[in-house]
Amino acid sequence: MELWGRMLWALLSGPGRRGSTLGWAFSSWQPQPPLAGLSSATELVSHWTRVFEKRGIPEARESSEYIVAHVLGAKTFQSLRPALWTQPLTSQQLQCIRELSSRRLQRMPVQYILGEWDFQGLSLRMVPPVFIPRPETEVHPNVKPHRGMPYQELKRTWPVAESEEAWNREVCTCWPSSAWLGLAILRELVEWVLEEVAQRSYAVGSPGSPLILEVGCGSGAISLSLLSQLPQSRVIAVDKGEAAISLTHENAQRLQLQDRIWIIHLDMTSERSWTHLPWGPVDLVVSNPPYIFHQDMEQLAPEIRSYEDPAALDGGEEGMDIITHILALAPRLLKDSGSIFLEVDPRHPELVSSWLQSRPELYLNLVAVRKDFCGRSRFLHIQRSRP
Amino acid sequence: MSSASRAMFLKSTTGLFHFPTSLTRICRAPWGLRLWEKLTLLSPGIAVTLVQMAGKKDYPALLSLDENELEEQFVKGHGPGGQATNKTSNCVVLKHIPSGIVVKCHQTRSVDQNRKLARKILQEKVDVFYNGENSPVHKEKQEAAKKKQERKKRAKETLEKKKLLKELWESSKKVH
Repeated sequence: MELWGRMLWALLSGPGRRGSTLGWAFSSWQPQPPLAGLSSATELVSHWTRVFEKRGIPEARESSEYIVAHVLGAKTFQSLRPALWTQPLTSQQLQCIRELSSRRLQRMPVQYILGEWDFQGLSLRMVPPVFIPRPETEVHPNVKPHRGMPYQELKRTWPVAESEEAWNREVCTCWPSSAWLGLAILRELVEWVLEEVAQRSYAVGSPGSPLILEVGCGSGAISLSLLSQLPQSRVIAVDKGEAAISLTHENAQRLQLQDRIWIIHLDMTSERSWTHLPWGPVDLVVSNPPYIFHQDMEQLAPEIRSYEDPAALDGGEEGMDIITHILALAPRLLKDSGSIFLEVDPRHPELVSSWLQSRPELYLNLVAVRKDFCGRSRFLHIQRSRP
Repeated sequence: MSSASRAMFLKSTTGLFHFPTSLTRICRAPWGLRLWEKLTLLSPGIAVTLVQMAGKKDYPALLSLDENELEEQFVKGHGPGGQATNKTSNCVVLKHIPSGIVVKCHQTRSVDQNRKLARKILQEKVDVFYNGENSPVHKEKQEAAKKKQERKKRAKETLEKKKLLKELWESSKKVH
């Protein structure tokens, strides 16, 4: 991580930082033009959008909207009370917006600037360099049409493309192209796990069921999301980063889920993991492991490259290092016919498939591949079969 | 939200959920959407059909939306996606083709929630489009406005009464 990234991390993860953006002593790297005459929320958004655009900051409008909304106490600009859009802001609020915006000018991701983000309806703290959960990972429960055609039927009529390109052509739209999207089919990791659990009806009603292991919990998004949707479940959340462990703890407590999650600081790829797993076989292993191909790390946007922990992203030469570690550990981790759900790079389904074929002694099968909401192969379901 | 309330939401199979009437009234006001958001976020099982459940009076259900007649646009994002990108834009733009009505929803940070809300808002707008003043949406707004006026009037009266009492009290103190 670059030096100033580290500095920011140290500043941001200091004590007493929680929720306080007003007392922040971070000074702008560059002087900003005076905001004389610009005093309403709407005007400020326009102002900062222009500033961000001039400096080539991606998502200029979204960024300024989120920052201004946050200072005014709302999660999105549109959700602010309309009266607040035109009301003059206090000088304290202006200063706060200026400071947060100056961080955006340093390409800090919005989630770190605000110190929080939502994942599947859960509000989670975000602190660099802990990995920010991506929307692809999120649950997107199907939107049910009222009367009209049942969603399930509609999906069946939707062309299932033979090839990835056909899929992309039919389902996705590129911003800001004028192509309109039909109904997008959303399949996300957590939702998939929930479907599987519903189908398998793990010892329904008994506490501790299903028992889920998350490898690489980061902020705790996936674990806490599963816990909140599966009232009987228990989760073991593991991460090799101390900051991640700490943040998962904090988020678990924020959501009052700390009694059902066991958070362990552990590197699953280390030798010790092979002999010293302090828990029994689990029903499910879920992971969004680092899966970026090492050579692609350089191409990452500054938001990611400079602020997020590279260890949470870099999957080695073919992005497979941590994936194969998890799969190799599977016999020790899983109960019979237990499942592994992974988020991966679109190139991985084939790579994982051939890897599994080369390791028949693991008794693992790639059962299904699912696409994310952009039509890219993103999720794998691997099941353990009894030898 | 307590698990008891959650159980209440999840019981219904038809998608019509029963709220205490006071909650339904709160949901009508534009900024009451915040409460609505909280409810839908905590209970993902709630379908958009909730809007068909009226407040005290027995309003007819709104015109339903056919997904076939909708076009939706949300940000796909450039580049490889997944871990390799970090997008915060989750605004949903939803168009009802027959009427041409477009709704843009960025109420929450969740694409999914925005999609649901966009459908709810679009359903109301489409109903008003076809039913005009007869739309339950229109009627409820009128009623809400009327009630608000009445509350204001009552509050003003109460304030004046208090003022009067205070003056009486003070003048009686002077006498003694």
